[in-house]
Amino acid sequence: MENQTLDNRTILNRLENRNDADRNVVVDEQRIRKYLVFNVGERPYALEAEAVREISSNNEFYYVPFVPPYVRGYANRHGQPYTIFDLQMLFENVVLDSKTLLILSMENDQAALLISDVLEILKVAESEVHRLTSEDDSSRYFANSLNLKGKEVFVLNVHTLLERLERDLERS
Amino acid sequence: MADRQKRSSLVRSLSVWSSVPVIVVLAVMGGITVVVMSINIDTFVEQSASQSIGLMEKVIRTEVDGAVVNYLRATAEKSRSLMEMYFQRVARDEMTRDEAWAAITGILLDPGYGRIGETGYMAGVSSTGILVIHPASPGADASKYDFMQQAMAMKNGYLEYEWQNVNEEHPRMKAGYLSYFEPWDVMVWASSYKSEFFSLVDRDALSRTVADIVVGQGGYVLVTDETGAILAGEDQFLVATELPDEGTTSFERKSTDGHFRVDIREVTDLGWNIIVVSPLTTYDTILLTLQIIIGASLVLAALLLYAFIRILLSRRLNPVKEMRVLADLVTTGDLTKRITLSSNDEIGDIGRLFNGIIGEFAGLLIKVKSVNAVLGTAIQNLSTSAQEVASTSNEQAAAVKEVLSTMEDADRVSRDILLKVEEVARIAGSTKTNVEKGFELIKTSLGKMEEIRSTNSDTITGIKTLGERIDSIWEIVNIINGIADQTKIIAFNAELEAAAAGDAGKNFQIVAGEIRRLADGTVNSTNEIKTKINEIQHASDKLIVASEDGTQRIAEGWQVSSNIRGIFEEVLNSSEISSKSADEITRSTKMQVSSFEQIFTTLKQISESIDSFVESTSYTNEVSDRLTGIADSFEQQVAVYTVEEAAAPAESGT
Repeated sequence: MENQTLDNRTILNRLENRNDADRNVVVDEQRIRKYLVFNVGERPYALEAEAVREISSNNEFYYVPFVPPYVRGYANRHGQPYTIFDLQMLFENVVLDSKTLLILSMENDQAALLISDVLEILKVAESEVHRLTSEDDSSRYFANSLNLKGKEVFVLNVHTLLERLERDLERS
Repeated sequence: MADRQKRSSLVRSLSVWSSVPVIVVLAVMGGITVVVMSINIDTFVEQSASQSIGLMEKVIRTEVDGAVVNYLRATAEKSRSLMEMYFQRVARDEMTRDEAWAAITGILLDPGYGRIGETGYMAGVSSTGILVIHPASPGADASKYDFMQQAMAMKNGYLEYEWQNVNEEHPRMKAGYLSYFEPWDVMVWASSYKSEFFSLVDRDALSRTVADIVVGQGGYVLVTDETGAILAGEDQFLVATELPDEGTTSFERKSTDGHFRVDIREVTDLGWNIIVVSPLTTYDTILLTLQIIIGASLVLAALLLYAFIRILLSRRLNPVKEMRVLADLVTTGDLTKRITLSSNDEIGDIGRLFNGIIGEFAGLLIKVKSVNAVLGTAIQNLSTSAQEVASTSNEQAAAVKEVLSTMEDADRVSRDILLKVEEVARIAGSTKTNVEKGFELIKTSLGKMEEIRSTNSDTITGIKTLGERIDSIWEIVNIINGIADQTKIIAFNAELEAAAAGDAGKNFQIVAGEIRRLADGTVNSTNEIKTKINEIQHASDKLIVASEDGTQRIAEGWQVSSNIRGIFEEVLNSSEISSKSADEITRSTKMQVSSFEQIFTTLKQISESIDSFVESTSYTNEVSDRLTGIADSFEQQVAVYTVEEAAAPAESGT
């Protein structure tokens, strides 16, 4: 019955009878952060919800020459071009077969991540967000890690991705 | 003698029939000559009479017209002279003009002076046509009449015109003479009907003229008046008293006086008749003489022609006479004589053929004699052979009777075989019927299996159709799943927007989260549906496999039944062949029995024939004996004829 379509009245009733935890969340808003958890291939990743403008499916890609292989081209979103990053290509050197994009919200750049599926929006207390201490080359693309149902999920650092792109472009 | 008379009749009849056409032709020509001559004579006599009548008419008219003109002229001229005399007396004042006019009028109108004929009179007419002196109508104007206008133009001279008095039925020709006296302007007019002047004609002179006209030999001319009284001429044969009815123009008459033709013509204005009598006796004599000459010539010609043809035929038929004599000799048996021939015509050819026939006949007799001798010997041999044949035929008759007995036994055996074979044919027919029934059952079984196979095939098709329907459900589920995914993404976006909105978006975030969960539930449901569909498809596939396996079993069963049907067909064919063969054997056996019967019958006939042949052989013996007697008799008959044996064949061709 959980999957049954809910009417507005039911939803309002739920809002009125919401539990204390929810109320606490609202009360302790300063200590709670929201993350969007998604899959790239079989791997789950997370991004802060504020860093994501929207999720877009069934997009058309426009190929761009002389760019690194993890840049799959750009997509037209509301008249604006967005650079498409293929994280699977970047991390595993395997092309990801998907057309779902996470449109990132940045002031100076317009970029999008190619993902397989969105899992959920996760509210996490700051205390449960773990800073990564590893100094290896790959971990610099992740800012933090989260625990999702006993499984560790890395939070992506978008800026390092953009820096990598700039470097690669300069190199080429 | 009778034959001789017949031959003489032949010559006579040939002579007569040869002469008759010539005589007939000559007679016809003679008849035509007589007829033509008669027609010519009639034409000549008619023309001669017509000429005489025309001449006589002219004579009469000349006589009458001359007398009339002279009499009227004398009368008119005399009266004019009298009028001139009174005119002179007036000139000498011996009397007045009126006295003179009264005197002359009295004289002219006096019947004693002025009457002309019976009704004629004297008159005075002025130059303007006024009747100044007239016994009936003095002072009348007659200028309107044509004759008066003619008289006014002439004033002097003779004229004729038609005039009808009031008391008369027809107009009559009237004659008048004018003599004009100018001092008093008077035309003295003397006129009368012309017929009233006949008394003035000089009959003696007319008679003399008539007597001078000759008509043939002995003919004459008569002139009669309306009453038939003779005016001129002498009527020798008194024809004027026997004139036929009015209108007849000619007739012929025969009397003791002779034969003559009478032609009559009426002179219409005078009322007289001119009669011409033409004698025909002379012409009759000529025609009779001609007929006698032609008849005598015909008789003479016929006699001469008959004599000539008869002599000619007698000479030409002389060889026939010889042939007749020779035929008489042949009838007595003498074949040694021949005809002596000299002519090369058809009769000569016939004579030569006759000689040839006698020669051939003589040769034939010689051959007959020799053949007769041979024939006698042959008849003897025939008699001997016939006796031998009779003996042999008796032996054959006995042998055939034995065969006949054997065939009777064989016929009985054949009939027994026929009964057995008919029983076999009946059993074969029954077997064929049973096999046909079994064959029909197999065919029915095959039909039912075919129906099962068809039904199974329909089931498989239905299951496949169901699979296709499930595939379409699968597509719908995918569509629902896609919609759920989209909804989920939209819900995420809503949540993101709500998160970005801070406090204001909290409630909206809840709503978006519910929508996302609903989308997740939808995706889960569709996944369950997919699982169920997969199970159904799996079960359907298994069902199809099972059904196809069943189809395979059915096909195998159908194949087995088909094989059984094939075997039954062979059995059926075999039973049909057996039945047909049994029928054929029955038929053949029947034919054999029938043939046996025929052979049996034929053998009986042969036996009877041999019996009759034996009888015939004995009859042949009798006949050969008779033939021997006939040959002897024939030899005696041939011996009657005398033949030159060496010469006969040689002369046959001459």
